Amino acid sequence: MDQVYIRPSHLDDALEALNAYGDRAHILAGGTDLLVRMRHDGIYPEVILDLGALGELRKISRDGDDIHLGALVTHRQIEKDAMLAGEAGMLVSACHQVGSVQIRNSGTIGGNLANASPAGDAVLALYLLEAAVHLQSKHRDRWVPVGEFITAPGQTTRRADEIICGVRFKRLPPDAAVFFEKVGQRQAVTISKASAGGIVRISQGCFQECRLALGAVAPTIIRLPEVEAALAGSPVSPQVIDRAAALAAATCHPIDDIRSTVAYRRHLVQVLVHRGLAAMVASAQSA
Amino acid sequence: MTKEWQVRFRVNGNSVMVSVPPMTSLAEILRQQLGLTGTKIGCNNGECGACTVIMNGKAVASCLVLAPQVAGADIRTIEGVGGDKALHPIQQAFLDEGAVQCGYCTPGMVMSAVALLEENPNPGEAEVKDAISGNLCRCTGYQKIIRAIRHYAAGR
Ligand SMILES: Cc1cc2nc3c(=O)[nH]c(=O)nc-3n(C[C@H](O)[C@H](O)[C@H](O)COP(=O)(O)OP(=O)(O)OC[C@H]3O[C@@H](n4cnc5c(N)ncnc54)[C@H](O)[C@@H]3O)c2cc1C
Ligand code: FES
Ligand code: FES
Repeated sequence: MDQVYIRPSHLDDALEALNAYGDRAHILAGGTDLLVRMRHDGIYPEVILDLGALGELRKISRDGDDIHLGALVTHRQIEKDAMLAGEAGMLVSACHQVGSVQIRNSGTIGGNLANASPAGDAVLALYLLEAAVHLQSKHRDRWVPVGEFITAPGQTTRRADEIICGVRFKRLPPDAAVFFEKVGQRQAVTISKASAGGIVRISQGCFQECRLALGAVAPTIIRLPEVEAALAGSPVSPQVIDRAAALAAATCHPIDDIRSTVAYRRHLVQVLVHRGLAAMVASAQSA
Repeated sequence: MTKEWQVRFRVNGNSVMVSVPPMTSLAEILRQQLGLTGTKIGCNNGECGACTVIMNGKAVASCLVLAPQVAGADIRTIEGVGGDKALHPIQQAFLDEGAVQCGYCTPGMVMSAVALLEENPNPGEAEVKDAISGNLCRCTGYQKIIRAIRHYAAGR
């Protein structure tokens, strides 16, 4: 079968093409997921819509406290951005831990979102930032909170005629402490057995705002609302951190698969949340 | 509609034009169409780094680059780094440190090292390790490779 390959240089042309081809088209960004799936799952796209020439989607921009990442911004760009470390530190750590330099130079934030992996690293940070995903089609333009955008492994609410154009979130306040950590088989180039990230603000010895997210322990990335609520207003103490980590392990529902077992993942959740909270407290107190 | 993809790009400074079947990767173009077999295909999956080349200044896994994505790009492979007569000094450093055994990983390792050193002429140990974390070596181990890159950087 003949294959159509399109590489438009303007977003309007890309939207027009997607409007015409709908779900017959496969969108190509960095290719780090798509090429692997094409080989292993024998996918042979009838139409490939390569976004690579859409320079307008490659930018990191700011408007007051709002930060916008174009869909084609690579993990490497995020990792190297001079300002993001202070504005959304765990996003930078998460991107730094994606794959390897080669994968980070190609892989994009839009691809990480569309891929909707429960182990997606950049996406976990976007859950913590409560980012909104910008979707555009020839006829529509909408923003969807990341937690509503991703619905199941590999499943999103993107419609066949929509392109992910970017994500938007608010920069974190300067007193926010953050963390991101993942555990896998090998440090580089690995799918996590579990990952965790967080943001806390501490004032007058108490946890104020607290956000926690876990990856690879449920069908999608999850936030931990019970633990976040339990921490808010609690005094900062080792006992409070112990209890929060235990609650995180008790409330998550990990799975058994080839990478790991339920029991091990539950243990990892407890360890990662404990370590993360302790690290954030230490960094908030030294600031 | 295309039966074959026509792609024009630059390899090691020379302009080339190839006609390839759909779904061909850059690694396959380099090896099969252009005879540049220094670039290896190990896993064909983005995991081993044997196929690393420098595309528009950045190290990428050429097995994960689809042929038409390369149109207009500037590609550097191991063949553009040094030759039989004059090794690139980073290649010489690999030899001096005994950082090569079977050699299968070496072209990819050298390309990752070249990309790192162009971005950061004086990398620390952690930066060197990060730069080659996507390159697997099954025989030499990593210590000698890290030492070769660090000695080269320090000696310049
Ligand atoms: C060796 C290796 C290691 C990896 N390690 C990690 C890791 O540690 N952490 C991690 O999170 N991921 C990892 N990945 C997965 C992958 O690199 C990331 O998910 C990356 O962000 C995907 O981006 P991409 O641009 O390469 O996506 P592509 O492969 O180009 O696309 C992926 C999917 O998203 C769709 N898509 C892409 N962009 C858009 C858009 N703008 N609008 C609509 N749909 C779009 C495509 O149609 C496709 O279905 C790894 C992959 C490999 C091969
Ligand atoms: S062959 Fe490309 S990374 Fe292994
Ligand atoms: S020298 Fe044999 S794989 Fe590295």
